[in-house]
Amino acid sequence: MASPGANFGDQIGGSPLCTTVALSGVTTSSMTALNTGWCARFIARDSRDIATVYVNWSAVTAAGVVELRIETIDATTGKPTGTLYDANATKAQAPVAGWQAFTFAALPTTGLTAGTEYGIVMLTTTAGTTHTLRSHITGTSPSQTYPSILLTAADGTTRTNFAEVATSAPCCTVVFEDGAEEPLEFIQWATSTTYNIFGTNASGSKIIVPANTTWNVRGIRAVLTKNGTPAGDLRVRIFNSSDAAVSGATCTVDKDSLSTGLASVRYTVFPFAAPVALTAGTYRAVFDSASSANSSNCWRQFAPIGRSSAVVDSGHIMTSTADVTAVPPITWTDTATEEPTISLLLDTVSASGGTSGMLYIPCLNGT
Amino acid sequence: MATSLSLKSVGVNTDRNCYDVLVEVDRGDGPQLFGFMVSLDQVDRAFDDMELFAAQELAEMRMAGTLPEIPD
Repeated sequence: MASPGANFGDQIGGSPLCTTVALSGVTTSSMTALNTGWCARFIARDSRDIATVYVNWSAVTAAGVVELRIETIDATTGKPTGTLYDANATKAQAPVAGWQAFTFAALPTTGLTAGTEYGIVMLTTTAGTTHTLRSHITGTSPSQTYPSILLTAADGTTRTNFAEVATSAPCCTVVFEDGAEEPLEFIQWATSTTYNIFGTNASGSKIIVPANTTWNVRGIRAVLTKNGTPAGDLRVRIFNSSDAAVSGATCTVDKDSLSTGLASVRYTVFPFAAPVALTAGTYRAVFDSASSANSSNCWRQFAPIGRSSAVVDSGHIMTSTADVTAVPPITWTDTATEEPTISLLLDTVSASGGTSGMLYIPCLNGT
Repeated sequence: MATSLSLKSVGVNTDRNCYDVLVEVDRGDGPQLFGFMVSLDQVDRAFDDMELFAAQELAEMRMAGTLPEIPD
């Protein structure tokens, strides 16, 4: 291969937070007991008021009541003050399993102050039998985002009891007064879908390269594991919008090089022999393993599931097929609410004309 | 009061070839329960004291022969 390009080491694709969900899952936190406290902090970017907060419960039985509030943050302690940012920014209700909206009875009107820190605080005001919250992720340093790092307390009624959960990022999303749902710096994925790769069953990432740009891709990085004893090697290819394999965009890794490391979920790198130019258009980076026999002896991918498609990168969604060997067109199932933990490893990026933009993660290690 | 940790339950997670654990943490204001996934090798790469504690507990259970096996 020629000398590394200007963007060698950069990646486009799964965010580090999403990858952590795939690697380690979402940690649960019990909010069953009276006065249990949970606080997700954020810095407002503009003045829009918050109408709804979504949180996710993994299990609820004989529900009590949980109050969700948006409070100001004490500049000295970094903890919630107990003071609502707006008198309307409180909602108490019984938790319900799955994603649950806490919509304020009346829309707050105070307006957030851009650059100011706030806290989404939950307190159990009536104990239940089980209130298990899909609370946060923990992981490597990219997985925590100050000041969003989670605070919890066994007795949150005393706000100074709130303390950081190390290397964490809270799980929730916010809907603003204009109806826009945003994850802010939280995580918007609570669970994952498992994709088994064997025989003709293949899965990967549907990728959109924006207009007027060319991505020169030197390989693929993905979060994978094995199930049982896969008999086949693991291959990745990039297909174009006509379902033809892009020349040179392929790499096969011998199963025996993966069998130990992928006993648990791990990163795997699939380098191409030389960078491959992807011009503007729709592509799919897809894994298959023709010689792996069945779903008990196969390779696996995990796709974290977003709260809604609104909070998932539409240029990078999960795709799968039951028959990757079909004569084109291949029948793909694209899932807009799922984000694949696959990144394109870049060599260079070029752009010309137009006004399209693109996002990538410069020199990010650990994704 | 120093943080105290205790392992409340261990289950096999066959989907991800690891263990689901429930750990009780008490930082002085009362107990809190957290549930998460842990691999046996996490003792070498734990991200926080809870993960390290859980991985060490699993390792001790394995030594004692009381840790359930993850089926192939």
